[in-house]
Amino acid sequence: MINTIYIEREIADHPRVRRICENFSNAVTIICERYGEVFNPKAQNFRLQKQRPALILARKHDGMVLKTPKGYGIGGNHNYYFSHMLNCIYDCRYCFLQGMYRSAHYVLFVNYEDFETAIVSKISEVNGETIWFFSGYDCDSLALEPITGFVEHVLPLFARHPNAFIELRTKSTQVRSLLRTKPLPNCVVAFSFTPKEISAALENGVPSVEKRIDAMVRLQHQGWRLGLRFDPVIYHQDYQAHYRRLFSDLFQQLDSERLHSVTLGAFRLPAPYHRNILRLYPDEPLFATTLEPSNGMVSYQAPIRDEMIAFCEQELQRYVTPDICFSCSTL
Amino acid sequence: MLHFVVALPAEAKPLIEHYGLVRHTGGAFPVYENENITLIVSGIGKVAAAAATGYLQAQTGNHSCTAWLNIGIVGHNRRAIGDGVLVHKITDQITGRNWYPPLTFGLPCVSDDLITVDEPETEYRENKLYDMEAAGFYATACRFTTAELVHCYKIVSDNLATPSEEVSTKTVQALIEQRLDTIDVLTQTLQAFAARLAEFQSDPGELARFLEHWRFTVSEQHQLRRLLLHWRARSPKTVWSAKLAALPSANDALRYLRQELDILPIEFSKS
Repeated sequence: MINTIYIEREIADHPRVRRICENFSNAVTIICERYGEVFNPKAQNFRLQKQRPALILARKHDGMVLKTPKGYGIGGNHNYYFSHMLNCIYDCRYCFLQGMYRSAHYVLFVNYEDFETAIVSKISEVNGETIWFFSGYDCDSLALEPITGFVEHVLPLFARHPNAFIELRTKSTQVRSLLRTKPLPNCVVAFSFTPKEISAALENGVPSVEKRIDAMVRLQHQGWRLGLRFDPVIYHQDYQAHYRRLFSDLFQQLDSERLHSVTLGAFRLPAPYHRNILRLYPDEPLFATTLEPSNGMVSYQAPIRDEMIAFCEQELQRYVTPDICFSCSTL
Repeated sequence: MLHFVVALPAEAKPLIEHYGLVRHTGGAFPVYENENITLIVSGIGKVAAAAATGYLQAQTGNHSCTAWLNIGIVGHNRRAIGDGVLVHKITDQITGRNWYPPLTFGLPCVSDDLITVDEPETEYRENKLYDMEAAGFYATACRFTTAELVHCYKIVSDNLATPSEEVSTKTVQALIEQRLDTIDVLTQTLQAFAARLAEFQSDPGELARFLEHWRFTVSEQHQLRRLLLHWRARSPKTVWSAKLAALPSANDALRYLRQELDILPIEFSKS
């Protein structure tokens, strides 16, 4: 799976680096000075690299924990995100990462302790108020967990700070480490879904909808709090029938009363990322529709957006109460 | 399309013969070519390599979907003579700048670090390849295409036991000849990548037909290209019809395309 590993010279002897490299004994390892030398050069093609991404092991020096963009959140007043990884092992055509980064390589920051320090610092600033940390913005929170062990490392911190909540957002079924752990009331494992027809067409490498539901059922059975993320909602012929069936499949197997939250958001991309992605995938039907700019974002025309979100909200009301439903309102 | 950049005539000769390349007359550098491959002999040193790379780009047109391969002999302290190595890190010894050619395909050989030096290296202090061109070649070629299409393949000609003074023209030719199989694999792999990139970036097939049929302003040509790309992404069928061909103006044709796209269902097929 990983054929090439770049390692920053500064952390080459870090025990975590050694342990991770043991998993890929056949990989070519290359020492670099700073991960940006490999990750940031202009002359790179995300689409070609995505065929065989490398792993870059690096140290993050600053900006560990950042405020979430406006409109993101699930009801909290203090919302932050952090990224122990950049890029994702999946290849979802709608994903903003392919327009944000020039490289498809996965960057893993191995100085987990510095993330912890930054998280604790933010917690101390809110004087016991509820504070949210979102971990799945620039990567999938769990997909590489068997290799990184990041979540296993960071959860004890949240066990010590009950006012601090963490959302692990994922499309993976890598829940073994969570199943070995006592559920935390302040940890929400949020699974992203699109209908299986969309997933098959646009979510390359992502476990099937059925497998993800199965992972959710196991976690819920053990007592983990779960979230559902329908973001992006993708417009297409028969979207109503497809989303209706997706919701039905999910709520037939999940206990909706024990769900923490449900979020909805129409497909949208920051305009510069949209431009980059169009250059990479001019042959992609997802982008070959009437998308229009609005507040620096590109999305469906407002009537389509509103119709889709209203439909999904109405359908979801058959299963969950409105107080746990949130819409991402960045447009 | 693939461009070879080599420093020495002795490095070029086996490639010229193997790929049936023909000398292009005149010019600042010796250039050889066939239908799919061009080769330039740069001379020794990173400045010469950079100049030759730029020259070849200018001579062959501004195509961003061309692969570039620098082939040549190198020194190493302990690698065996004849070892063929793909370069995964290039360091310019003078400036300290590094480049990392992305390894986005299955490697047909081992890979290693390389240091580009300004003067011939005889001590091989670091356990790395030493050459005199790669940094100049790579930095320049990456201005013309994406890094995934730019690589350096080197063959060890000298080491601590066999110093570079003992390497003859005949030896250089023989070393390259022995690695032609690997060079073939690299050439085919990079050409396939280049073809894929060209396919991503190609104009919609029907663009020329539209441009012949109506007179479009530059702005309308951009709109036309975008609409035809949308059509290609969403329908395997041609948009061309007798009804469309009968429309009097470019503006009418664009309006027709928009209307046809609006009624085309948005569907996704399994990837």
